[in-house]
Amino acid sequence: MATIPVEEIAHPPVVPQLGILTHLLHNRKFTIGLAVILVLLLVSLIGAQFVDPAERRTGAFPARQSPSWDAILGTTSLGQSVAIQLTQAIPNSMLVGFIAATLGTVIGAIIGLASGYFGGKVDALLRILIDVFLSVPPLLFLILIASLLRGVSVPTMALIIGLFAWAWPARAVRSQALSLKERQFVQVARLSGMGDLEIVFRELLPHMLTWLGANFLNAFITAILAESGLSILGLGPQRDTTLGIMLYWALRYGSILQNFWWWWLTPVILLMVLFLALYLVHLGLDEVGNPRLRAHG
Amino acid sequence: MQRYKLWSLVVLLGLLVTGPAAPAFADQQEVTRAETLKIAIPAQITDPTNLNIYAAGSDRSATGLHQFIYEYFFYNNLQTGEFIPWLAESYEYSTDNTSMTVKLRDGVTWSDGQPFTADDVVFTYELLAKNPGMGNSAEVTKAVKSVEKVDSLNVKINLITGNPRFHLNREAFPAVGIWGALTILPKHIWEKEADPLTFKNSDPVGTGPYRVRDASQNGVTLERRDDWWGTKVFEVTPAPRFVQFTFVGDEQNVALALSNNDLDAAWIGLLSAGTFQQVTAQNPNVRAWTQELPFAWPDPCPRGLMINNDNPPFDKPEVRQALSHLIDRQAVVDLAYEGTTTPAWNIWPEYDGNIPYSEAIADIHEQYPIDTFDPARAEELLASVGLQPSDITVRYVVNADNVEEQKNSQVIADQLTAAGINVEVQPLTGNANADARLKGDFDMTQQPFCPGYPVENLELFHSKYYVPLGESAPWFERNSFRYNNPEFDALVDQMLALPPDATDQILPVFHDAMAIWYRDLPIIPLVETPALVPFNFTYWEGWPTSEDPWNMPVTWWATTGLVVTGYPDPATGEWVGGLEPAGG
Repeated sequence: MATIPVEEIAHPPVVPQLGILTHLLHNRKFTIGLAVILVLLLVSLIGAQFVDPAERRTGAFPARQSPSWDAILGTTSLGQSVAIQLTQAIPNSMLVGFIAATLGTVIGAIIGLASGYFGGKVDALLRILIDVFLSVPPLLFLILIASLLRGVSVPTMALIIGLFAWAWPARAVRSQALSLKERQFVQVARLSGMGDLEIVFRELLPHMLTWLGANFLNAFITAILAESGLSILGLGPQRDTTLGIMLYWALRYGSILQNFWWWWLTPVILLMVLFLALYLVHLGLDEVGNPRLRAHG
Repeated sequence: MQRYKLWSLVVLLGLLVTGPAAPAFADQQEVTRAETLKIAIPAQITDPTNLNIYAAGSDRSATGLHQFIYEYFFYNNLQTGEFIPWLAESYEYSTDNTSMTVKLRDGVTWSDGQPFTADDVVFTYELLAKNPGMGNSAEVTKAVKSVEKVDSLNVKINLITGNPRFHLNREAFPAVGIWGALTILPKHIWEKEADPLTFKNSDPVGTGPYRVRDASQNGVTLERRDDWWGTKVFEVTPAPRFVQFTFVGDEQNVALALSNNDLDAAWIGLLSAGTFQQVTAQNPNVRAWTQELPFAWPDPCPRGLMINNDNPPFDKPEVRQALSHLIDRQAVVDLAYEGTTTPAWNIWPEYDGNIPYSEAIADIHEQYPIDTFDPARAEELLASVGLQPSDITVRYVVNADNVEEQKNSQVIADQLTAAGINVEVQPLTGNANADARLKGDFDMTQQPFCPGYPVENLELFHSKYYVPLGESAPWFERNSFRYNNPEFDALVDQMLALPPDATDQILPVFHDAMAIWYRDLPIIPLVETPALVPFNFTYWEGWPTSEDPWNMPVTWWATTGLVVTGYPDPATGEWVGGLEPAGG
């Protein structure tokens, strides 16, 4: 029997816990991405405070106006200001992303950890569940559910999307848990009398946090995309505004053909900016979490 | 160059948006464009194999069934005022109006060569009477006692009550005014079917000039029949060899297809004025009824909001009147219709012939100015029944296949919300949408009120069409809103017993009936309806326009058949109108 190297018995040297925030804040990709997201969110939230509810209504502005001082991003054919719509659309789209990504990541982590750590029958059962959810095309189900529930609200939409966002993280977490649980520090923890839950949350989970963070951002992007996709099909929340819904009405009411470029281009550009920013944060997180990349970065 | 790029982008986005619904043209390749009349329909056809015009779930219009497969006794040209004999030659009421004898045209045959006779008429009425699930059945049972064959070309229809207006009742008599009418079926085909409700009739036998060539969810192709009876009797052949009803996608796809000459016409409500003007800028061969604003032909069916009279608190007239006062109709016209129509305070079109009816009730309109936007008055009305705006939640059902309804719903929901009323917009499509309306599963929903004749439109509010919530009403505007007032019924019955030209006798009764109607306000009048129907003159000419108003510019009504073929002038017998190949 080989002797156990001291380093492996000692607490795992996964992430330099203290320095992570400093590292992140020194990472240019992360800071730029985060700054863009915060600026978008703050500008729209603060902007929303200055908008009189009456200004959100159809007919509040002259219809079909190109951008001017009165409506800096122009107006729709029903006389709504595109800029004012954004103050609701951006936070709502982010809310969809946030709820769906949180739900997907948390459910995924719990199922993945349980499946990987406990093994046996629990694993067999959960693995089937994961495989089923991985093999069905989520958009198909989302379209089906959304069309059955016609007239959904923004949070309901987010919940539906989130319920289909957990299978990938579950599988990834499960495989990590499978490998980690055989490592000696886990065996040491078990020998020292730690309970299963304690081991899972105190020994296994910390190793996966950076990965889960990256997955969260990925799911965030996917959820916003899914929401836009469903909304463009006319299955989104009708009385609320998201970037996808803005695009739906713009397309539905012939904005492209009538050259109302400000109407359809605005949500398109904002979706792109939002994706880019989230991707930058993701890259930053990856570089910090992955020491190999950090060394080169 | 820039324009080219923009168009590529447009096409690309169009493809993205309609990707899953892109029409499959593969099976329609031999159909040549120059021989084809292509009409855009607003949505996919739910079940293209179901061509049983009387079955729930079939589409009589987007499939061309009532335009080109079947034909009707008479066609009412509302534009010229002519009542055009077609499958029938004439009708005559008995002196007490309790029966009507119809003389059928000699020489009419079904598409399988069998003659069209009185037997088919008797059979159809009896089939409808025996099968309450069939469309038109309820209406036939209420109006018709029995139908007798006099000889092979004469039928006698016995009515339950004396009714000198029976020939205007499109639901119980095969005369088309607007939309469609009761359809006579070939006895020799249908008598073999055990259940006329489940019979799919995928290859329908009709008398019309076209037969079904193929049908898919994306559209139907019809092919001209060279053995059509009209070719022998009238010596006329319809110009298009094929007629295609095709789903190309939403507004911008329709606009693109029209610009590129991929379409010859479209359904009502597919193009807004702004988009239409873009199309005409791209393709000068496309026009509508008028060359300038409003472009649209005044459709006979004004738009109203059906309010569910059986759903509290909407069972209270005060609540319905309050909702009416909260709607700023001019804003709806300006925003949703881009100024192509006018606000409505009643439920008939402002045609010249209807003006005496509008004038006769001017005093009632003054007493109930329900079309004025007056939030203060609305609050008073609500307070009078102990309600506040925030107590009310309106479930507003919207047909998500209809851009016009969607636009109106956005504007109206905002107006009601502004007044403090809670509005839940529920978009529905296809059969779910039809079901919700007929079964009364809504608080509010937009609906055309047809046929647009003042007296017949009041009949829509008769409680003989009333069914409890959860059961299907006979037709959408035939009391899906569930109004029930015997006092009003009696007045309508009085009017219906008078011949349509007895205006002097009708008007006093009409006045009394409208006094009740405005007091109760069972539905909320909204706007007159603009029928902005684009016609493309590239392949076909002869389309009706304001300069040549020989027919109504319709593509979705049964009358469309006559737009394509033309018809013999009822007075002179001379052939009028019809489409011809452009430049031919």
